Amino acid sequence: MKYLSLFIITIFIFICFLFALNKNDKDLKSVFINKEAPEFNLKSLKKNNLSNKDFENEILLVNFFASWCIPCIVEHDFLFELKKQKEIKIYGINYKDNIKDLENWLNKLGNPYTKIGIDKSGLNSIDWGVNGIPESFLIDKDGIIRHKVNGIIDNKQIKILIEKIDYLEKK
Amino acid sequence: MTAIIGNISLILAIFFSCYQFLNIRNIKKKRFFNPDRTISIQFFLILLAFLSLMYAYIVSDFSILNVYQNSHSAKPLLYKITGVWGNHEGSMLLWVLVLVFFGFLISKFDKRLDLSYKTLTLSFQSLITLIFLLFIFLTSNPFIIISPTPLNGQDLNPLLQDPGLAFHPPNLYIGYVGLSIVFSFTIARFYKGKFDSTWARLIKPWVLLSWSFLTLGISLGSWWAYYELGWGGFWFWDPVENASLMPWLCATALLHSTLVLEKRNALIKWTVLLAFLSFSFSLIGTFLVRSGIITSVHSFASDPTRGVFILIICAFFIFSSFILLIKKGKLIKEEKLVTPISKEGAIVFNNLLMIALLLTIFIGTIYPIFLDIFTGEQISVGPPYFNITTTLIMAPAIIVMAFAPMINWKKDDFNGLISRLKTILFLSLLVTLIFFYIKFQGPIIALVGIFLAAWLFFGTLINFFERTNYLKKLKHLNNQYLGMIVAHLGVAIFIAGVTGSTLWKIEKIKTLKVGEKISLNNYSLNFDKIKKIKGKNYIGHEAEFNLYKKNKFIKTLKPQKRFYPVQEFPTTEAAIYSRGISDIYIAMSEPVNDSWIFRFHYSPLTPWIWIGSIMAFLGGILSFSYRMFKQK
Repeated sequence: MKYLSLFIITIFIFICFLFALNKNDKDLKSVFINKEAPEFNLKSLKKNNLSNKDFENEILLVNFFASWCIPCIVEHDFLFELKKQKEIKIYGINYKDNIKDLENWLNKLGNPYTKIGIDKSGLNSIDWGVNGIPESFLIDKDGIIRHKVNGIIDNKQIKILIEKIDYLEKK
Repeated sequence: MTAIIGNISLILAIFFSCYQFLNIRNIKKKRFFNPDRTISIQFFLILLAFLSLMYAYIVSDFSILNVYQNSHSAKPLLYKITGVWGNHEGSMLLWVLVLVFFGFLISKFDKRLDLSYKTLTLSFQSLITLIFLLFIFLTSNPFIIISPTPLNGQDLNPLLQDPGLAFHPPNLYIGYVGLSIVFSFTIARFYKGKFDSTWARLIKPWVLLSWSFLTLGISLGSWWAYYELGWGGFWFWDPVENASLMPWLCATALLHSTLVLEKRNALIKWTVLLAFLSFSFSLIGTFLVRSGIITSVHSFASDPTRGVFILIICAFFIFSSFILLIKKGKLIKEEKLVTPISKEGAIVFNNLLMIALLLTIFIGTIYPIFLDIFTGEQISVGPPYFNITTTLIMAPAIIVMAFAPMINWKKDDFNGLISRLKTILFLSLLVTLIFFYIKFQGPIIALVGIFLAAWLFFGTLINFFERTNYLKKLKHLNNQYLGMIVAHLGVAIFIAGVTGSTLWKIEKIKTLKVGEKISLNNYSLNFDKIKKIKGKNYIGHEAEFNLYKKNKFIKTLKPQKRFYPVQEFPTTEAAIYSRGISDIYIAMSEPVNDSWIFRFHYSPLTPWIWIGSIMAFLGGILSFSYRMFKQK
């Protein structure tokens, strides 16, 4: 009989494990969500700097990437796909990269970015709490971070992003 | 080609393990075949699969998905080889390799078993092999081919490119999987023979072997975390660390309860339960690590479908052992233990504390999962909880541990015990006072730690002197007793190490420019140089610090900050100066303008953590060798 109570507890634990597995809510919740985007001012690939001023009155996506990052190549096509499905500005922040490599890379693969800021030292990315690239942040009209994508934006992520954007637009 | 060989050997191994398992049906009819051959075949097939995967890694065969995802042609050879188990698929293959290797060892070397019991045990072992092979083949096949073949791979996580970690998984697996043998021995005993002192003697060496390698594996992992993660600690109560500690605690309890079973024919049901629990916790450990159910620094693999599969495996083994216990447990006859002041009394006391600690850690580890399910809140249970509970539960266990080996079986004289304890108490208080006097002030709890360590140390030592009649009778000692002494002394040294390392640590975080210096305890460190370095698959910076003690030059320390471009991952290579009783530890962090951030630690007694662990390992092995080869 004493094994029976142990048996029931074990079953209970197993059921909980099963629920936890199916929850599938593996998004790392960024502490930056629902906070204002960090202040920054970066040299841009072209003339003007990229800074918070570019964020005004528009829903947009900030994407951290680099030419040496293999997953970023995979993600690149999906960025075009996202723009095809939804009209949205994508600002790129180029992380610890070589400008020449970056230019070659963009020439070869195309440029989905409205503007690209250069974060050569990687310090700016620390402010955003970036812990690996690619990473992307969805920012609303008031310059507040509403959603974060860790890793590659793929078809599944595009779907989620579009839902979020639609929701923000209605608001 | 490699992939074909790998796949075929996997399939054949599945067939042979199934064949061996079905041999169970023939045992009642007494027409079973000798398992030696099928077990050897299983072992060589898995070995072949493992070697072909290793070969693919060595020649950088990127047509295999697993190699592409976890290797790179520029990686040093050592890490190409160890990269085989630096990922989910390969590490599961290693797991099964160790599994069949244990079966192989038993069939070849364990001459103490009678044929039908051996056949039964190895058939149950084959069932475990079969299930894990199916898991590998269906959800985590390392031999999947990609086309077109990529030019280069994505490299192994740089944190794992380290000798400490390269050999941590194999050792840990020997420990984990060794417990599966104990599990098979136990299940088989329900059908053949009975649970008595003979059975205790049969399983004891295997428990010892797995316990020793678990100890070694865990300490290697902890050593790696100490100098590679750059946080200066050796244990972080991370879910994955806990996952390895839980089977260790269970195996420790099992190790001691088999002693009671052997000598007194008591604690039988408890020992059987512990044998089941040990293996169950190594499965649950595998589940927690491999399913990615808990976010941890170790989350290398997270795939819910795999998680469900492992959960089913866990449930299968755990529930079938429960059902066996409920159905057949009543048939076990055992003697009742009555005397608290006796060796068995002390062992039972410590056994209960071990299991209490195990449950505390288990609750701390899975609590976040429960909270997330029921409230949606996400938390993690951190060191404060674990430190307090572990200290509270372990302190009485250590007090008892010091004198348990001295007291007799059945019944001992309380007064005789007290007089011996007085000597130990006097010596350990003396040591505590000396420590207090020399240089450390620190918190009171640190002195408690030192006291406990000294208490255990002297208790064990005095027992050793008494037994050898003050070293006159050294020749009569057997390795089993010696192993116990070495292991217990190791634990004492380990406790002192943990105390010094956590409570007397001095930590400084400073931003320094070249030419500046910093003082740390009695030492001073001059930041002399910084230069760029380039390794085979990384680039980075190396700082040079000259270490002085009272203006006398001692050594140049070179911490590094590395960056692995392929994985876009930075790592910290701490520089450590170890004097045997303390460590000077420098970890390099990010640059700020023209200066760099450094983290300095002065950690007294930290090397003792590893010395103690190694002693515990060696003690276990000594005892194992006696049990396996000498004892009749």
